[in-house]
Amino acid sequence: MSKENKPVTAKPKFNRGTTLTIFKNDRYEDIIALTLSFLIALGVYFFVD
Amino acid sequence: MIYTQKHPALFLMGAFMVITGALTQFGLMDSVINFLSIKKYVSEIISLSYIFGGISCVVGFWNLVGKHKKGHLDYYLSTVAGVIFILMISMGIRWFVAPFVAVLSKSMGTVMGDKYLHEVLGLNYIVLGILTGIIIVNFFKIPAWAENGVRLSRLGLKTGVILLGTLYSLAELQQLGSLSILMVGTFVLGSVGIVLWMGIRLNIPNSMAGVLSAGMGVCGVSATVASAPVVQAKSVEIAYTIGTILLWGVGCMFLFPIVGNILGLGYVQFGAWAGTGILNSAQVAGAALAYQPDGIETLKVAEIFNITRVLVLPIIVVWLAIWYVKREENAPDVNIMRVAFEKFPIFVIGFLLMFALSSTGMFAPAKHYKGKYFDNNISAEKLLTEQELTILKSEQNKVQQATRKETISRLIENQKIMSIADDDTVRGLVNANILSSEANGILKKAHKSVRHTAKKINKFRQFITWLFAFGLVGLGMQITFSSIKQAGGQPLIIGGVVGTIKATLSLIIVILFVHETI
Repeated sequence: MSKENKPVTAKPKFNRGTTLTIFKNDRYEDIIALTLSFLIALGVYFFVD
Repeated sequence: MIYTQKHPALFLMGAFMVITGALTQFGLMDSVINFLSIKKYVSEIISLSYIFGGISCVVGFWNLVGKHKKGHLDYYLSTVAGVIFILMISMGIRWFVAPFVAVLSKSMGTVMGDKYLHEVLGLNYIVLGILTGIIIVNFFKIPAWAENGVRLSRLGLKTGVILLGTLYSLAELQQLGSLSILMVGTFVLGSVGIVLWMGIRLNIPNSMAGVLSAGMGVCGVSATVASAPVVQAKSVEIAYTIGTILLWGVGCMFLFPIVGNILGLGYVQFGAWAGTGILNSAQVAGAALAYQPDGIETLKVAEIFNITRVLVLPIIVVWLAIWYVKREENAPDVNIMRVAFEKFPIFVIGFLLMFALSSTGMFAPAKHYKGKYFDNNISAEKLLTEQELTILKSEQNKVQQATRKETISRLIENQKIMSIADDDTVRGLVNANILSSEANGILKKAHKSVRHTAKKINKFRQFITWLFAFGLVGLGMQITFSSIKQAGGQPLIIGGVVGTIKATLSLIIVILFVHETI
């Protein structure tokens, strides 16, 4: 984590993830975003007409 | 560490949402809805308020009465309060604050062509969302029970960028002229290069230079968000980039039409120039319409140049990934393939996958652009009636231009618009205000009958809007005044210099090489 990525509050509050994400790293967050968007796409494809 | 806080806020927010949904459903909000002209949001207000209000009440109740133990359930459920906090603010902005700003702005009349002040300044839910987030974190402080959820805002932005891919299709992009691809490609890559070079010279952080280069080169929120993780950009740097793009665009919207008129640029020339030189899509459209209020030829060309930028986005992301690693690790001989593999954000691949799926026609006819497509196989009741045709015939002689005359003749003969080109001409004729309002109304009806919006794409657009609204309010909540001060004024200077160079060079290229046909 970059030194300048200061948390929202002064002292660190989270022992999991980083100050910018609840996930352990960026790539993990990307995979979650990918999964979420494909679930939305499937939902739209099957349920919207 | 136990993350869940026994606080009634989530339950109360849920109750508030459910009450808002009920008030709207039973017509008790009608006066507000009419005043703000937000009837189009009514079904959204009711459904989203009930859904998220219900979730909040259930999870909020559990937070209050449940026994919480350290673990995954505690960790992930504790984010709900923050997510709902941001979502409620986003709802307030999208449904009430942004429409109120629009009402105020409209009461002042148009300021540029047919554009109102809020449109010119780009005061939409995106900008208002970031500003609200900044105000909350700096003046009120984020409540402790919401802090964990704020860390999900970036996930919202990334999901939104992936879904953006559904708005485009390959068939539409294939129609782009080779000149637009060459010109936009050159200027996008050139702008990125200059920003990175200036960033090094002026000694601004690599993350700031990287994200600014994508913003100034490609344009808009999506490019900025897509490149941000690659260069580990901070929230304030993302906001700075968006601010620089919008500020630059406001100036351009006023200046471009003036310069275009002085130089006597043709519609195609101006469209190509605005589509290359101005960064924000809405502002490109604003400048094009200001230049040609009585037609849409300029707007069409500007839009073509504008969407060409999407093609360059993956190239920029790879370039920035390699550049950033080289600069940060001080390793000029990095393995390009390794860096591209390790640093390339997977969600950008998701964007390309969605784009590919959209191009197959599974969400809308394959030739759509942002969900809109032309199809004149319409039912008999949608054809123009005899009475409407009589009105058009009686005003036919008011039309002087040969193309427009032929289009109107074809429309009268077939009772419907026959081609995309005819549809464009009809829209231009309506904009020109040559015919009576009654005849213009008939033309608008004919246009609407053949232009369709895919329901699936509309739903995607709704998801994207909410994901961006959520993500940007959360992003604003990570920007403190001290971090803005720390970023300094140099990014604005770099943005201004690069924007001016791009606008000037693209103007010269347009004058030299672009003629009335592409």
